Amino acid sequence: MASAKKNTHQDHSAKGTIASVSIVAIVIVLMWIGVFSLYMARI
Amino acid sequence: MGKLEETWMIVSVSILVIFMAIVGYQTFALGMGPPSNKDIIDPQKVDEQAPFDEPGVFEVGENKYEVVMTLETFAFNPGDIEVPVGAEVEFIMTSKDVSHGIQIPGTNLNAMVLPGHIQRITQVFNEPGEYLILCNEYCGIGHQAMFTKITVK
Ligand SMILES: [Cu+2]
Repeated sequence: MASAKKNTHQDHSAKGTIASVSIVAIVIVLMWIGVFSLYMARI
Repeated sequence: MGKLEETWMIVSVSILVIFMAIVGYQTFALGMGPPSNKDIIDPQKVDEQAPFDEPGVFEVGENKYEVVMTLETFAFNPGDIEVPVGAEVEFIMTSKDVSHGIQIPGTNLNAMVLPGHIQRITQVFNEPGEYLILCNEYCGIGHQAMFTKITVK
């Protein structure tokens, strides 16, 4: 019973989640690279 | 934990660690940390204390310059500064009254200058020209008039 309950969580697909957090990750990385390049260009 | 969740955890932690490693290397190995000098001074006796009793631009070494500068409402002293191209210029600054800022647009020079504190920031100007120096910390009714220029040639 306990193991059956545990498994129900795994049934949901996480594909939508990984897609949306990846978009956020790309935005964060691009912004970081942008600010970093701006700083280095002005050294 | 699902496979995709694991992927997300690894990616996000790696991003953080990589960012921190790069910024840490810049700060501690390349000396590119934000201005964070810790000297203090009595803001009411700035004019009597070295080096601020004699503000100005000084050549202190080969291709090295020091700009000893006081900030007050609403002026930078010295006003018109001139330095050669490619020289390492260290600005040593303090405020005689309220909180001011110094920024030279187009460069990384950007710092707060607070009364009671001595700020130091170093900049190399690789391009000749006239640069604007401005106060970017609201300091009173004449704040918008608090600017000057530095000539690099
Ligand atoms: Cu000001």
